[in-house]
This record gives sequence, C-alpha cells and structure tokens, in this order.
Amino acid sequence: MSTRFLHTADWQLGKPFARVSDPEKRMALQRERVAVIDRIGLAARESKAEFIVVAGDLFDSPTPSKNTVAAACGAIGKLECPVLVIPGNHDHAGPGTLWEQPFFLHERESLAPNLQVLLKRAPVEVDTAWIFPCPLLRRAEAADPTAWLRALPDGPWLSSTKPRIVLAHGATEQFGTRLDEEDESSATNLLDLSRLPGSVFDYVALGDWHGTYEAGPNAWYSGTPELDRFPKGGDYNPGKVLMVEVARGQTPIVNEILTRRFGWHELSFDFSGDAAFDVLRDTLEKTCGGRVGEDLMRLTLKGALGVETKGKLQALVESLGARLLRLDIEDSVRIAPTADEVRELAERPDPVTARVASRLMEMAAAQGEEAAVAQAALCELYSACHAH
Amino acid sequence: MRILSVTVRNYRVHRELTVNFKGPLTLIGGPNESGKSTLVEALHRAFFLRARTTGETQKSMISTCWNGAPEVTVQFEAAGTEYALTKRFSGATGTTRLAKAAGGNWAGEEAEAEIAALLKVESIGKGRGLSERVSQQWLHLWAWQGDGVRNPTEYATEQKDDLVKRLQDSGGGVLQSALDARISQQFAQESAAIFTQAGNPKAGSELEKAEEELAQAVENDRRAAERLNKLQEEANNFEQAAQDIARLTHELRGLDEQKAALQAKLTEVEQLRGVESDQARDLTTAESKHSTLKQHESAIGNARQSLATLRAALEPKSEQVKSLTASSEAAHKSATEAGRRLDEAAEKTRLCRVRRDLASACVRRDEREAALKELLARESQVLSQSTLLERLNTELASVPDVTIAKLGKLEGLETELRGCEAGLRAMAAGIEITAGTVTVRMGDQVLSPGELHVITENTELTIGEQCRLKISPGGGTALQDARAKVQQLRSELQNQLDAIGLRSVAAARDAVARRKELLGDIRKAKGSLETLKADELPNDLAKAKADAAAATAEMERRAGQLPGTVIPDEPDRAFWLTSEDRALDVAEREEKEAKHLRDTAAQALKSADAELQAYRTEVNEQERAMERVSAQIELLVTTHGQDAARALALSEAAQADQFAAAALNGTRAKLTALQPDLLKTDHVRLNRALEQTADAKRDAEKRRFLAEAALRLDGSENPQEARALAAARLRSVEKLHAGARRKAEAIRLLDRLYREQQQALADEFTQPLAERISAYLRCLFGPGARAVMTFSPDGFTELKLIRPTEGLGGGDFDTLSGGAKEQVAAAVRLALAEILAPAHDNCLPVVLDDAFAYSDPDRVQILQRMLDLAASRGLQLIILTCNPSDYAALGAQQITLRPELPQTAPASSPSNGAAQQGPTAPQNEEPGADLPSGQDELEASVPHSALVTREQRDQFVACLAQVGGKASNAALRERLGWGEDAYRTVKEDLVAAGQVLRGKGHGGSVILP
Repeated sequence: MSTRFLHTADWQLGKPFARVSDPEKRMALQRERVAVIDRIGLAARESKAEFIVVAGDLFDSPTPSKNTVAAACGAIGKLECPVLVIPGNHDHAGPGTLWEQPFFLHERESLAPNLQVLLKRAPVEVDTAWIFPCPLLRRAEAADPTAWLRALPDGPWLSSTKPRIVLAHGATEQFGTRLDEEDESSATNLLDLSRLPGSVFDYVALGDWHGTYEAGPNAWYSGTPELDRFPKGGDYNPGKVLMVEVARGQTPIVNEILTRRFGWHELSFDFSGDAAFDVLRDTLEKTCGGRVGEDLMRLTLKGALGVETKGKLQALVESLGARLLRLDIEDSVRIAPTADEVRELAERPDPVTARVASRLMEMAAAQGEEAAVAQAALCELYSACHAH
Repeated sequence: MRILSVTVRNYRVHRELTVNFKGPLTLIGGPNESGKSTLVEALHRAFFLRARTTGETQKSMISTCWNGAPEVTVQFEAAGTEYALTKRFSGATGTTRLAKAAGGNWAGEEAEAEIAALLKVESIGKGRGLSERVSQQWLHLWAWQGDGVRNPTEYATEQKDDLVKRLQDSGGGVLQSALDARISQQFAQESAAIFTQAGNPKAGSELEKAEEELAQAVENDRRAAERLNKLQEEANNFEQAAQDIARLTHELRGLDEQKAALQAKLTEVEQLRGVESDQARDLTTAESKHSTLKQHESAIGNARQSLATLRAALEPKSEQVKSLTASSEAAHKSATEAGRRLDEAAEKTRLCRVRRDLASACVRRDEREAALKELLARESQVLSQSTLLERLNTELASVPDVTIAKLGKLEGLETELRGCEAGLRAMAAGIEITAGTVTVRMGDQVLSPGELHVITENTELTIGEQCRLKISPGGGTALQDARAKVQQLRSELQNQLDAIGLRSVAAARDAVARRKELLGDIRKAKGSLETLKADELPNDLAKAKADAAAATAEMERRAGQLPGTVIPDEPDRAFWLTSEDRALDVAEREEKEAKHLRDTAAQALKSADAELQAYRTEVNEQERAMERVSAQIELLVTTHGQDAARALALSEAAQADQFAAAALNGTRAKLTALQPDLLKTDHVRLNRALEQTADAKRDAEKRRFLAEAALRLDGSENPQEARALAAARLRSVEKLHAGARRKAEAIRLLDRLYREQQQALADEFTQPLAERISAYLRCLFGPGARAVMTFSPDGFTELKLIRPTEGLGGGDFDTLSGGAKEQVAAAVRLALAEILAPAHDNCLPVVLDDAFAYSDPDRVQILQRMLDLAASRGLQLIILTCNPSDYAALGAQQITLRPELPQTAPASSPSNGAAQQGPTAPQNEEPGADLPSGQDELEASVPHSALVTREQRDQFVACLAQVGGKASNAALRERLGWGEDAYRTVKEDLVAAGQVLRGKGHGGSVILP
C-alpha cells in the first residue's frame, strides 16, 4: 500500500514579528502565516494528498492568544483532509500549555475536527499509514525524542503493509554555525537518526529547520511554508511544503511545492563615493520593484558619503522604510564632506562658521561616538548654512 | 585732532581766559574754585553743545560775576588743517562760527554739522537731559572731575563701532559675520531648547521624550522578561518537582524493601533470643551440676589434704615434746639443787647476823654506858654553876640600880654644881675660921675652925654672942642667881641621889662598877649552863639511863641466843663487831649468789615447763583436728559416694556443661552477626527516612501542583509574544534614542563650538587694544602687568587688571581700589585714544580733570611715565589738577589758574553787571610762554560746594531713597524739580562726599551706596 501526503512544519502561527514596529505591517505578517494554510490546502487538493503532517511548531508559542488559536483552527478546519500535528519546541506540550487549555480543545472540537494532535509517543494508525510521533513534551528535551523508536513495542503495525512515517521535531545535526539572532532552533533537542532501526521506517518527516533540507535517507525537513526570517545562504530553501508519496519498503518520492508569498531580502552596500548612491538606488529598484507591503529587507550600509548625499540617502531610507514591511538597517556610512563641501563650509567668508566647520571635520575624521556626533553636527551645520 | 587754544568769556567765574596748548602735555593747575573744571567744560561744550541751547543748560553757563553771554573760542587742528570755532551761548540767539585756515567759513547749523563731522560724532539733539547727554560725548577721552574711577567698559562700548573699525584696520582680528551670528543664535536656541543649564535634557524636548520612552521600554521589557522568567521558573519548578517525585518514589520503594529485610532479620533475632534463653538455662543447670560435683570433689580432696598436712605437722612436734620433757626434768633438778644451796647460805647468813647482832649489842651497851657517865659528869658541873649564879644574882640585887646613863647624869649635875660653886665662890666670900674660940655661928650653924664657908648671901655671922657680923658678898643679884643655881643643882643632885639611895656620886660610881662586874659573872655562869645544856640534861640523863639498861638487856638476850659464845672484853668488842660485820657481808653475798642461781634455775624450769605445756596443748589440738577431718572425710565419702563413682559422675557433668556452652555460643555468634543493636537503630532510621521521604514526596507533589496551576494559562496572554514585542520595542526605542541623543549632542557641540570660536575671535579682536592698555599698565604696575578685556558682539563686558603679584586670576575692575581704578581707567582712555587716533590725524586730545584724586603722590609720580608714553605716541594730554607740583617731573606745559574776585562785590542778581570785570587770569609758568593780556588775577566765584546747602543734600538723598536708592539723573532731577546745574552741583557734591555713587545708563544715574 502506498500513500500520498503533504509534509509541512514550523507554521509558527502567532509569531509576533516584534521587530516590525508598525502594527499594521506586523499584522500583515502575522495574517500571512494563517493565509498560507489556504495555499497548503490548495496544494493538498491539487496533489490529492490523503493527509497532512505538521512536524512541530504549529504555533509560535506554547501559550498562543485565543485569536491565534481560533484563526488556526478555522484555517485548519477548511483543509479537506486529516491534519496530524506534534508539538515542537515552540509549542511544546509542557504543563499548562495550549494543548490542554479548554479553549483550544473547544476550538478544535468545533472548528477543526480534522486536527489530530499527537501527544504520546506511540504508533498511530491512519487510513493509509502508520504514524510514529515524537512530540516534544518540554521546550528542551534532554533525551532524544526519537529514542523510543529504537525499541518499539510489538503491535499491529508490525504486520501492517501501510507505510511507516516518523514525525519528529529537532535538530539532526548541530546547526550552530548557521544560527543567527532570530533563530530559536531547538538545538538542544537533538535527533540521532542514525540510531533508528534500519528499514523499519519509510519516511521521517522533520520540523525545526526552516529551509527544505534532506537530512538523511528518507528523512526531510519540509521547512516553513511562509518565510519568517531572512534566509541564510544559497542552500537555505524556505517557503515550501513537501508532497510525499511513499509505500512500505519503498524509497519515497518527494516533491517541493512553493507556498510562500512575502520576499525576505538581505542586502549589503559599501559606498566608495557619492556616485555609488545611484547604484544603490538601482539595486533597490531591482529588488523590490514598485511593490509595497510585500517585502522585508535587511540592509547593511558602509563606506563614506558627502554631507549632501548622506542626506539623500537618509531620504531614500525613509522612503524604503515606508514601502517595506520591515527594514532592518545597519547604517555605518560615515560622512566625509566632498571637496566642494569642504570649500563651502570651511572656506566661507563667515569666520566663526568656517572655524566651527573645520573643527567638526577634524573631529568627524576620528572614530567612535564623538566622531559620529561631529558628523551629525556637520549635517546640521550644512543644512543651517543652506537655510540661512 | 589737536586743540591749539581755548578762550572763554563770561563763562561763570571766567570773564576772559585764554589757554594756549603748546605741546602734547598741558598741565593746568590751580587751587579749588579757580575754574579748571569750568574751563574744560567750556571747551567740551564748544565742541558738543549747540550754541542755541536754552534752558537750564544755558543758564548754568552764565556768569554771576560778569555781564555778557558766555562765549568760547577754540582753535584746533583737524583733517590736516587748522580751524577756529567760536560759540556764543546766548540761548535762542546763540551763534556758532567755524573758520577753516585753509579757507572756508560755516555758521549756525552748518557749522554745527561740520564740527560733528570733524569730530566724527553724531549730533546730540535737544530736549531733556541735554546737559547729561552732552557730557557723555567723548567720554572715552574726557575724564570729568570725579569720573576717574568709572568703569571704562561703559564708554569703551559706546565707541564700539569706531573701535571695531579701527581695530580691524590696525590688523586685529575680524568679527563674526551676520550669518555667523544667526547660525550661532539658532544653535544656541536649539541647544537651550534641548538642554537645561545643568546639561540635562529639557522637559518637553525630543531628547527628553526619547529618554522617557527608553526608560519605559526598558521597564516594559524588564516586566515582560520577568513574567516570562516567572513562567520559565514555574516550568522548571514543575520539572524539578516531577523529577523529585520520581526520585522520591524510587527511594520510597527502596526504603520499603530495606525495611522488609530488616523486619525479617528482627524476627530471626527474636527467635534466636528464645533459643539463647533456653540454652542459657540448660547451661546454667549443667554448670551448676558440674560445679556441685567439683565442689564435692574439691571438698574431699581438701579434707584429705588437710589431714595429711596435719599429720605431717604433728610428727616433729611430738618429738619436740619428748625433748622438752627431758629439758624440764633437768631444769627441775637444777632448781632443787639451787634451792638447797640457798637454804644453806641463808642459814649461814643468819648465824653471822646473830653473831654480829650480839657484837653490835655489846658495842651499843658499851656506848650507852659511856654516854651515861658523861651525862652524870655534866650534871655535877651544872649544879656548881647554878649555885654560883644564884649567889651572883643575890649580890646584884643588893647593889643600887644605877645605870651608866644615870651615873652620867649625876656626874653632869655634879660637874655643873662644881662649876656653879666655883663661880659662887669667886663672887662669894669665904669664911674660914682659922682659929677662934668664940663660937661663931652663921645663922644657926656653928662654924668650926678649918671649915670654909662660903657666903653667897647677906649672911649674919654671930661671933660669940655679942658680935654679929653681916657679911654681904659682892655681885649683887648675880650672886644671888649663882647661889640659887647652886642651890638648885645641889638640891637636884641630892634628889637624884636620894632616889637611888646613895649618898654621893662617888658611891654611885662605885655601884655602877660593881653592877658591871656582877653582871659579867652572871653572864659567864649562864654561858656555862647553856654549854652544858642544863635544860636538856635531866631528860638526857633519864634517856641515857634507860638506853643503857636496854642495851644491856639486848646484849644479854643476844648472848643467850648464842650460848657458848665468848664475848671479848670491852676494849676488843669494836674489833669483834668489825670482824663480825665482814663475816656477815661475806655470808650475805654468798646467799645472794645462791639465791640468784636458784632464781635462774627456777626461771629455766618455768620456761621449759611452759614450752612443754604449749607444745603439748598444740599437739593435743592437732590431734583433735585430725580427728575432726577424718570424721568429715568419712561423712563426705559416705554422702557423695566412693572415689570411682564420683569420678564418673564428674566427667559426665563436665561433658554436659561443655555441650551446653558450645550450643549457647553458637546461638550468640549468630545473634552477634545479626548486630541486633544496629538493627534497632536501623529500624528507627528507616522509619525516619521513610517518613521524611514521604514528606518530601508530598512536598514535591504540592510544588508540582502549584507550578502546574501557575503555568495553566487561559490563552488570554502570550508571555512569549509579549516579551518578544517588548524586547523589539526596546531595541527600536534604543535606536531612536541613540539617534535623538546623537542629534542633541550634535546641536550641543555646535553651540559649544560656536561659542568657543566667537570667544576666540573676540579675543583676537581685542588683542591690539589689550596690548596698548597693557603697555600703559606696565608703566604703573611693572613688567608683568596686563589688561584683559572681554569683548562680545554687544560690546566690552569685562575689564581685568592682572598684576604679576596676583597670579592668574586678576582683579576685576570693580574690585580694584579707587586709586587703581583711576589709573587703569586712564590707561584704557589712553589706549582707546591711541586706537582711535588714526581716524583723527593720529592725534586725539585726552582730558584728565583731577583724574587721580585717589592716587597717592608716589603713584602720581609713577603714572607720569604712562602720560609721557601716551604723549610720545602722539596723543594730546590736558591734565587738570589742584596739585601741579605732583606733576613736576612730567615736563609738561604748565598753566596755573588763580581764583579772582570781581572788583565789585558779586552781584546778587545777574542784572547787576555794569561793573568792570577782569578775567580769570591764567598764569603761564612755562618759561618764555606768552602771557595773556589782562593779568589781573580775579577771584573765582563762590565755590559751588559752598552753594550746596545741607537742605539740598538731604533733599537729594531722601528723594533718591524714595525711588529705591537708584535713579537716572534725568528722572531724579525732574522729581526734585531742580535746574540742571543745581542738580549737577548737588550731585557732584554728594558724589565727592561719597554719599551717592555714580551709576551707569544713558544720561548717567545715581545710586545710594
């Protein structure tokens, strides 16, 4: 017997996107995490999936708000197949967490009867497969959550011809070098797949790593269906779900289906002179085009600009900040007045202003906060000279 | 610009006075009230007061002494040529004439305008306070009397624009541009809007808002983190509690198992204790039986042993008894023998003693007989002595009892009587009938021949019958007395003799001798009787007789005891006694020895008998003991059986005992191995541990429950999200704050830099002025002295004198002494004049009217250097002083004014002006100087201080006090309702007296100190 199902994970519903200061933009990002469920449903329908497995971190927190729970249950309820879920490190099944909250139980009951939360480490049979869930019962499990699979109790699954699917959440290798500040990967929840009994399981559906990634023979991370962070490197492959076709004892067929909507961009720019400003403007145009409210960007700016061009940059950044859902900017561009600016400031007929400007240029050439203050002062002086 | 000469006419005290200024230095001297200040005022007004000025100002110039409008003519050089200026101050009809040497005349307003242009001043106009305003003109060059201590920054600021121009021309710094000023003001305002004076963010500023937001974000983040941590903590608590429960459950199970094992052991111990008890009882029984048998055996053995011992001990003692019996018998024999010998010795002794007693009795009888004989002899002696004594006593009794003392007395009386009779005879007449036949009688006494009679009194002698003869001895009454005395003595002697019974003293003397002799014999006889013991004799004799008889009887009795004994003759008896005594001694010694031997033998016998007896008793006792023991043995054997039977029983009992002990030891070893005591404490310990563990488990369950309750959220909050939002908010606010802070700091930096650079510029700008002032100050205060003048675009704000001795701080002008103020102010005036001079043909006049009033003469000497330096730098100096001699070393052109009275009395009203009036005469003392015409010296007008009444002063001060102690001159004058001159006169008087101070301000002001 073979089965066809969708493997997804790390929906992280209710993720606050706290770094987005604008509440509307934040709301848009949060809403999109629910909206992607509809796209997953479409994929499931089109690929005739018999069920959907969510390998952990359905919610962003073990105590999501009622709104999030209601929205999640509503969206899941619209899916036309069973949805099997295990808790991950974000929404672990520790004491007092949502899985035992009456509100969640009620919402699931009334909105998403197709949602099946697997809180026990025991084989579960569905129509066309056996599921071996490895839920996380606390945020950081000291023991390998898949350890129970190494010495399985006898049961009807033994004689079944249905494919056997492991559902687990955690790191299969140290992603330490690939972590960034926004990562909250369950690096402590280590899964040692090499110790799983050979050929017992047909597919291992993993969650936690947000890019699609083949973690071992028949073992895949689906990644998150909608990005929630800036991608890391070229092999980071997020924004998809996996359509898996598997039969007992057969190598599974795995296909990626794109589900993401928002663009997450990372850009770094080093100004070598005022002329480079136009290059930056063109690059940004290419990256985000005329889109508004659909992209997020991490922008690193370095180098030096003249006082006036720095002002233009400031204006550009302000415009960009308005258009983007989120702009993380690291602006270490120094102000280095151009020759014209130097002339205009330090060689003007106003003796005090000229002396002040010279002094500021000296100070601005140094390093540290004092220099930064001096650069800001130069800008102020420049605009004051132009205003009067 | 240089003043060449001035002529004053009808100007207060001056009728006409001309002063020519010949060199750069002019010293105008003169006593008080000689019109020095009036002269320079007239000069000043010629330049700056419009001729058509009316009112108080004009009136104040009019002379009370001289008729005619006040008029001043000044000749001066300006703009490269000479001018002559004449002003006639006759009120509305006043005239101004200006003539230029190079050609050109101006009059009226034109002339006024031309002068203003030449002097580069603006017209002062008209109206109120004119006088005050006019006096402010050229104040930087003109030190009015009493103005010397005024702070120069005031009038220096007035000249700011000119100074700026001059300073910039002379290569000083440049001043900020208008744009500089606007921008610096903009930043100053912006900075002031952001920061407080103390440098903290100002309320309402962007920075302050950002800081508040930051603080709030920090607080929110902290709270969110706290909440999350709390939840995490509860999760940890839950986890910990769950772990604890698992661990404790496991421990409880282990403890239960231990307790069960312990219980089993305790049961075993209990059983073993029962067995042990039984076995112990068995052992006791066996031991007891064994012990009894052993005791029996031991008793029999002991008895037998005792018997053997007794027997062994008895044997030598029996032998001893035999030997002792023999010894006793021998001793008995010896004792008997010794007794016999003693008896013999005793008998011998007795015989000896009898014999010796006999001898002794014989001797004693002899001795008694001898004694008796001696006594009888004594008896006869006593008898003869007694007879003698008796006779002597009888004789003594017949002799008169005259004692030697009595005899002495009698002899004394007799001697005295003889003496007295001799004396009587000497006086008396002796009558002796040598022969006669006729009876001669004397009295009744018939005198016989050969008898001498002494007549001591008138005595009548009858011789025969017919003759009577009266004899009267001489001597009168002495004879009488002597005769009486003799009579008395004789009578006394006679009486004494009569008492004794003797006739004469000789007889008495004999009696005494006889008595003495008799008494000697009596004593002798008595002595012999005493020697003979006459008293004891009768007894002695009787006793001796009895003794002799007894001794004889004794002798005879003893002789009877020894019949046959030959008693030696009496003389040999003593010898016999001696030999008998010796024989007795020998016999007694022998008896003593015999007795000793007998006693020794008896003692030996006694001890031998005693020992024998003791041994015998002992032997008897032992024999009895042996009998008893034998009986005992017999009884024991009868009771406990014969030896063989007993040995079997004993062996069996020993074996039983051994078996019982082994069994018991085995049981005890098992018990020991189980350590029952430890088991007991183990039991207690385990129970305790169980209890504690159960408590701990209950506690852990409670903790788990509590943690679970705390963790159970209802979905209405999401602490993770809240924390993430708070942290993100904090980061964003931090960024905003950093931006705001940086911008604020930038503004502050700009403000600071602008101020610094403005100041630097101002300092550079004032440098030439400061250098010039310093050059003058060095003349006064030494090489290190310098001036610091602070300049801001608004003008000069601060002047400091820095003297080398004062260190860096320097003295602010207002803190200087009056003298130093004057000197510094003068230096500043000179420096200002020097800076400004290039616009005036490199020369400007500086007028110093009594400008060094506070300076001591020494300092005045020194400051002449400064004045000379100014002159050498091209300035024209006009110095007015009432002590010209102080300036002797200046080398100045010197002019002396002398006060001169008008030839007529001063008119009490101005209308009285017809009299001939002479001018105040300048005394030009410079050699070769032109002497002005009209040399008559005039007395100056009444000193203005004399014109100030006490009421005026009081009114001035009271009015100033009423308006708060400070008022502008114009306002105060108006309030007082005084004319300008009157006000000024009183004011100057009070200023000079120190009762009011000069203040600043347009038109000047006054302040109460």
